[in-house]
Amino acid sequence: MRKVQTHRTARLDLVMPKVVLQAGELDAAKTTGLQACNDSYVLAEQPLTAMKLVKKAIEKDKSGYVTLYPEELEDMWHVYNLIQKDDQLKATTIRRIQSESSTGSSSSQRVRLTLTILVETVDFDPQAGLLRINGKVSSESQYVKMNSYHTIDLELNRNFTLFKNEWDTIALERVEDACDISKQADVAAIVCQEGLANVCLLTQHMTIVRQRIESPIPRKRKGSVTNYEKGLVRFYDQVYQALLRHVNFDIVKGVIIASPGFVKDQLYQYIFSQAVKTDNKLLMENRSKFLLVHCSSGHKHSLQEVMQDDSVKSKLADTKAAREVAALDRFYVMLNNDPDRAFYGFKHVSKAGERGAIGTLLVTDDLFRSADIATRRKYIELVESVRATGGTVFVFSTLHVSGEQLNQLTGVAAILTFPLPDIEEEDDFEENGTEDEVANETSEGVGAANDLGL
Amino acid sequence: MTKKPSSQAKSIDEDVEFLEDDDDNQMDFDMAALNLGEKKTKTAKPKKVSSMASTPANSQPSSPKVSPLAKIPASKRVDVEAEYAKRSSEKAKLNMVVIGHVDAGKSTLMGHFLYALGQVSDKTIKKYEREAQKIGKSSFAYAWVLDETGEERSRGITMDIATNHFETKSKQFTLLDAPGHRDFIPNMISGAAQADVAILVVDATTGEFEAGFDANGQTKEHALLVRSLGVQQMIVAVNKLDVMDWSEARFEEIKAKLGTFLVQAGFRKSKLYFVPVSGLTGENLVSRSADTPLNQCEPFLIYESRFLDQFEPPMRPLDRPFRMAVSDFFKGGIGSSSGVSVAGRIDAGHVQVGEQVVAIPGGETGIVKTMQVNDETANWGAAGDSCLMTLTGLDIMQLSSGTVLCTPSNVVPVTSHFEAQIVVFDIKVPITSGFPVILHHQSLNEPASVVKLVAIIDKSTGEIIKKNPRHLSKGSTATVRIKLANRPIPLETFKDNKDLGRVMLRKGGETVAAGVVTQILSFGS
Repeated sequence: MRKVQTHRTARLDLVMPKVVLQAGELDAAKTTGLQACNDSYVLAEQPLTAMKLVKKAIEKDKSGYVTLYPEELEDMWHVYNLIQKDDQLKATTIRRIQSESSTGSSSSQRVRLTLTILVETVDFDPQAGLLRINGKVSSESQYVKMNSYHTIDLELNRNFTLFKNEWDTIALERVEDACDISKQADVAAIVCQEGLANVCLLTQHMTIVRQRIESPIPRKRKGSVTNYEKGLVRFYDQVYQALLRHVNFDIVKGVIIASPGFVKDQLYQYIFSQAVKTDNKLLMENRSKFLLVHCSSGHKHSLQEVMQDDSVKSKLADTKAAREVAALDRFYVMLNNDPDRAFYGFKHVSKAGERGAIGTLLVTDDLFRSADIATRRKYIELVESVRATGGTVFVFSTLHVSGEQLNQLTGVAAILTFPLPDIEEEDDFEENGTEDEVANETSEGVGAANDLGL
Repeated sequence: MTKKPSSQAKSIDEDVEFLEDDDDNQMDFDMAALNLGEKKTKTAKPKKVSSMASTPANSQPSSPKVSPLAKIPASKRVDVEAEYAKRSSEKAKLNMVVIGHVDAGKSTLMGHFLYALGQVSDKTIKKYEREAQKIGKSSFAYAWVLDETGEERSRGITMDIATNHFETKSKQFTLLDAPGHRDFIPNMISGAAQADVAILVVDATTGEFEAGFDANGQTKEHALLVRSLGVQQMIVAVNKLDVMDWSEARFEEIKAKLGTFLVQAGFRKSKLYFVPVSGLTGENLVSRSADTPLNQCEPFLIYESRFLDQFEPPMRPLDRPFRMAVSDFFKGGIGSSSGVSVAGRIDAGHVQVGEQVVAIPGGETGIVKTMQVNDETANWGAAGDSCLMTLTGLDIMQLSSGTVLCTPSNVVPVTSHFEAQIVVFDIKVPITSGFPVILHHQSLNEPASVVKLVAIIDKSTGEIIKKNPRHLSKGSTATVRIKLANRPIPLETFKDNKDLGRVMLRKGGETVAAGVVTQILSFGS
């Protein structure tokens, strides 16, 4: 239990550097670390707070390090967005050490130790919240040779330190964002239509589909609707079970049920009739958290409509996601009404940026995760120049539906304050080379369109 | 996908239905409508036709597969084509969908009509009247003929397609009553995809017609949808005229407004029939009373009426490989036999009892045990028939709402990336690349996104106006590439199969575009 004690103190006293600098205490790590591993305490606790900033030390030349203490799944997403190739990461990790005795018999043993690695690749699984960082070991260690490869699975509730040669604005904002407790609000959403439901968890930066339920419902037939009604009940029951399984009422501030037609009302009725039948106190107590919203389909896309709903906006403490959706809508409306004031694609947008025309810039965080430093810098310069001219910048999370959409739209778009019709013309001129190919492909579809006759 | 400059540069326009609105060309139109058209379109044709990049339907090596009929003793095999010709000479079968804005009175109209034809007994109607009165919805009694679920009855709204059958002097009709409420358009599309002809019902009462016709109403959307799904002949039932005292002025006003729109939408004036009716009183459905001031109009929908019998049955692609898009399936066979039952309309080819079929996607085979065509037991079915069949040897887990049943010797391609030519509807925001949509294909709806805008096309000449456009605004015709988000679906090019080659794109509860598949860009998952 010694380890647990340390954690408690760490959490209470945030700037205690002792915890961070355990690196040297290898023996301690070896013994206590292995114990802590089996200690379920660490995993069982799900605090309702944001990531904690333990230490920040950034030099004038923007190099430096940050020590963070991730506490929940979303924090992993933030970390995923922070870590770049060629950063250095120091964290506790487990490594299997093989040793050969003088007689030639080999033995292996798992050792918990603190390592620093030079990051090469980062992988993230949003479902499990698992973040794996692979790279070459760059710190001396009793067990591991320098420059040998190691993969760190970053763990919740353990400090880690990230060194960067350059902490740019986007990265610093990300740290600030991640550590802001006031912005946290988790909402569960069930978007459904007859026979299809997506049980999702919405946080400020993520939309995670916890379960997709597809249950074929026989349609009504002349003279017989029993099949249909049975199928419907089976479907509602599946959604009910999923709700029990995936929604943690200690964490979520609201449960949104959204659907076209009357599915939401029927589902709501079913949930609470079941809750009464099975005497499910948890559900009954949380009845006020449920919110019924209309949307156009049961597919994940329609979460965008859900987020725009006023009653939902008030449930989400921070409306960042909703504002992003609104900004993207504004972009589309502008593209429709005045195409010379809405551009997408880096080439067009940066041209507009050069002339100081950008009023609102929409970018996805995917662009800043780019492994290529030059690309990242290119986008950061764009963001900074837009801010310098007084424009607003929205950084979309690619784990949200709106971010996914923007990502497919090249990941960058801008609403201009004044029209720049010549941008497109310049572009047309440059792209003349590819025309023949396109002509070939489209020609065959021509006849078919006449059929539509519209 | 590589393009091989036209080794098989066979003209693609030979089976294109096209619409050019000049009245003296009736014959050509009919030919085209019947898919007989050998006629070339007058529009500029592509000089180079790239090959269709080999849909498996075309390119599959004709493997020496066992005939799907192998299990049927020769003596019991049915020569479907001969039987079909025989049956068609008696009475042609037509599928008719009833569409219109919510509360236009579609279900009541059709319910009353079926009652008047004697398809529904007096006793049943009396029972419905009593029960409807009990919940304070006495005017819904006729609608209950088609709205059978508890939810539909208590809310007084159709939620899913109801199927019924009736006959006229020369035709057998399968009636599909579609829901009008905008939330149930996916169901409406699933019904309309099976239809050959349509009845558009509009509410004539003051304000109601306008509400259904203007921006947020479904009248226009439904009409455009059925047109995009290949319906060319339509009756427009101007309903609830009894409330308007059978005002001829009102009838003419609606006729003018709607007529203009429908012609723009690509319907032919000569193929539209306007009829004043009242679904509630039953006026002008099957009979008419002498005191109706509009008695110069022919009654419609009755046995002898000229309207229903005037519909021309489309040419069915009987010689194509068997395809049936499944719109419904459930455990248990017809009657109380075992197996799985599937329902849908046969899109192409024919099938008979004992024949082997493959469910795509999945590729599992099953054998047709029993069949019903139009609710009557049959031992074969052909393109255009709406049928229910029991399959054995197929697990129900292999079926989903997008399943297409095929003949084992030639299966439908499965794809998640294809190119389509689309017509953009009246939309508020333009379509860009990355635009997320819900793709509707037969009874299936799946999330997808437009990944590339290839070119904007001039719809009358077929020439490319702009390559790689940044966005598509309303009314434009364009070639785009679409990718399915979750999983591949069975799809064919429009050239290979008209019904399986049509797609609808919707977003946020509105239909944004309709199109036809021109090229399949990836096969399998």
